Amino acid sequence: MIGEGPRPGEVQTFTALYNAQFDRVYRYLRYRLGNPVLAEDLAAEVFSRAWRKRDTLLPGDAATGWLFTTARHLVADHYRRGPDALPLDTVPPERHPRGAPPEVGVLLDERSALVRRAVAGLGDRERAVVELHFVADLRHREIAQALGTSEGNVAKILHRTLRRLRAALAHEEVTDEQPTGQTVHATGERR
Amino acid sequence: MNNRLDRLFTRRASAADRRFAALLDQAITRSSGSLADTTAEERAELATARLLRAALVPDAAPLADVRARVWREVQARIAPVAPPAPRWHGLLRRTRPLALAGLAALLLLFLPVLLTWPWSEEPVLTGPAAVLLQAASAAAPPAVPEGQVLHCIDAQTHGQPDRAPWSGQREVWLDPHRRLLRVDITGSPKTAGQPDSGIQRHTFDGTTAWQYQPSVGVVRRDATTYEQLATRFPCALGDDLTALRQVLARRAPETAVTIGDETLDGAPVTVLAICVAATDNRTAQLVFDTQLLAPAPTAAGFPVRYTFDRDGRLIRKESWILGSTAVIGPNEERLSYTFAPAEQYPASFFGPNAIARP
Repeated sequence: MIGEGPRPGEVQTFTALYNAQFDRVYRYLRYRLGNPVLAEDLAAEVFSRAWRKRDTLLPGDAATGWLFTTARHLVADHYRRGPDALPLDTVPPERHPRGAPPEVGVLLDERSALVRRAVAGLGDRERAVVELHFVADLRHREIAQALGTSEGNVAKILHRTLRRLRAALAHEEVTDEQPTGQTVHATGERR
Repeated sequence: MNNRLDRLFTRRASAADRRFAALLDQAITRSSGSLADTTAEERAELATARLLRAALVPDAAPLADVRARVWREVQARIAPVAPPAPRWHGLLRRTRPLALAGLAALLLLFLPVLLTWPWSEEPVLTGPAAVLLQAASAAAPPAVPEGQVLHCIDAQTHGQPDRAPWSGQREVWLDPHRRLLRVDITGSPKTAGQPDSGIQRHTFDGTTAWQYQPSVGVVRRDATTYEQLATRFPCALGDDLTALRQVLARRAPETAVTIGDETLDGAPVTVLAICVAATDNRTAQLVFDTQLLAPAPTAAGFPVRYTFDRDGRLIRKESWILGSTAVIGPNEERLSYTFAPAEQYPASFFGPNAIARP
């Protein structure tokens, strides 16, 4: 079913890799692309390439790093091709032609928007580290593999960036306390 | 120089960095660790980390469905496309040494003839090129030699009454079995920013998705079908959406709503368009619903008819692509196209100026 002539155990190893890493890869792609359909497409491409590279793909952190390196390149290629249309996430539900029910919408509060804006304002390296850690749930060692740097460098960048973000968010009076009674904005989202 | 110094500096993580990294990783690995001896500064930074985690990944919904769907897609992309082995395959394998010896003997026998054959005097357009040219004009083209992929370029110009002319070319690849491998349509945009600009690529070998710029699609690898996951076209916002939806709601099921008329390849077609989200006062997104309703399948277009229910929901989608039909049910987002054998393609598909390259 999978590929042509896989060696014994390869399918099981690949399946285990997929099950262990899919959620992280998909969430990272979806965050970067803002488009669940495109995220699915690129996630399929990431793992398809992983299967073709199975002979050289080492298990463990190296494989995780390779998956995210590939995912980052695919995202970069996607944006290099040109501006995308307006993501459907930004389509208000009431304007959706198929009358999407309100439950498909995702509530993004002001705090989330502020945090995302602060992260978007980081440098490429810092933003990559933050996204890989907080969105993809990668550990420092795995981030180091994905970015081709040292674990110590990742620790340093993340610590320094968190301090910057903390200062920036404090300036915006954003804290980690649960918001109560705040205004929220609904954003339509296709499933 | 400065960059190098910066890299050297940042690689030297301090003890505080490493300690904080361990604290952060605890949250991912869910490993037990005591936070009792953390400093106030570290606790504040961990609070920022919690804030980031909650804000950047607000949707923690289970991904089982997505995981299963993508897994099927991965399997489709990496599945082999080799044709089924014939029954005599085993016999051939057993007799392979004998066959090889026979081939070697034949080669030696005909070597003098091969060495003296006037290869350079062969005309340029022969073999697959001639076959393809013949295919463009004949109803029943002869078989294509095995082991060659044909490549056809068709330059054409579309003129539409209310728009600037579009010119471009369509490139078609066929495999040795005359199955459609890929269609590339490149063209100069009608006008900068118009929705039809960009590259439209249908790849049927599973390696590249449909790449119409604002669209996303996935091509299955069996070389006969592809699944179009979603298409989103920006379009000019010419109609008021509210009024359009009211029109749709009043229509009875099985009735297609048409808006606007255009021509395609000189034949009148009807364009059904629903614009949903204005990005500004002039542009909008068209979700799923830009379609061409032609009286019959045309060479250049993929006519599709959409049927909506009284609530304006899509309940049926019919598509004719080169003589094939596909239908999806209510509210489904996937549409599988099945392509007819290449022999059934209209001759105009290849265009009058088609040239062929092996």
